[in-house]
Amino acid sequence: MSGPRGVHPRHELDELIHAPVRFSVMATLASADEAEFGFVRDGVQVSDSMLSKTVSALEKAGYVEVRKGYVGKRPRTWLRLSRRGREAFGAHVAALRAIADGAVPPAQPGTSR
Amino acid sequence: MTAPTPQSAAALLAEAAAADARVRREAGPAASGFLATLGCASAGFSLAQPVADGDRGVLAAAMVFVFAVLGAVLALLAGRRSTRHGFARRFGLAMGAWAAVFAVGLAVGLASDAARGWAFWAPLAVLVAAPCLVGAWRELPR
Repeated sequence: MSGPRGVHPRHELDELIHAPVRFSVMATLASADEAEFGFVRDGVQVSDSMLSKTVSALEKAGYVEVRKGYVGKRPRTWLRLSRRGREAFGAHVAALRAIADGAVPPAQPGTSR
Repeated sequence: MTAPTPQSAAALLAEAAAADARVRREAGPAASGFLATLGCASAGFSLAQPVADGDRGVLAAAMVFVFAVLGAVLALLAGRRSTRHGFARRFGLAMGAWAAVFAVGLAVGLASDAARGWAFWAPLAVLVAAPCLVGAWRELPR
């Protein structure tokens, strides 16, 4: 099970994205140009505070961008993946795909895993 | 971090696919509805030209067209909770093609005496609706 550089694909996983809620949020935003806070919350099935905390962590890492706006008089918060976030999620998914495909890495002579 | 097993990795990939499907279901109909409305309103406006009785008829057709498009824009913006990835680019293509065909068609149709009948306006109705209807089809959830 080797990645593009001959390493196990688990090394390509992004620890920040790997947490379940963060992964779900990133997966939702990866499919969208932009998504409203409530839409993401409902899809991921978490509370407002949990999503806020998750978004803060992802924003701090530079993966998510937050935009505040209004629809009529109602305040709305919009979330989107930054370019860096989209690249990181793409690499994470590629690593998951490699693991799911279950390719066995070539054994290195004289080494044990 | 615990490395996922092939089974749990597959489950995570399935979750990502489900999230993608959910965004498509949410974002598709509104965008699709807007483009379909725009295409049909433009075609209707074009088809109204041969039967419009003078300037007042043209103005009435234009008012119906403008209100239909404004309604579609408001519905699109108010109901929007997410936009599909790539939508802006596809939307721009559909709108750009629609605007180009509509502008050229109107300019020729309203300026030229030779282009006053069905032979001009009916094909224009099809041409002007086509980019929007193709765009609407592309935004439909799958």
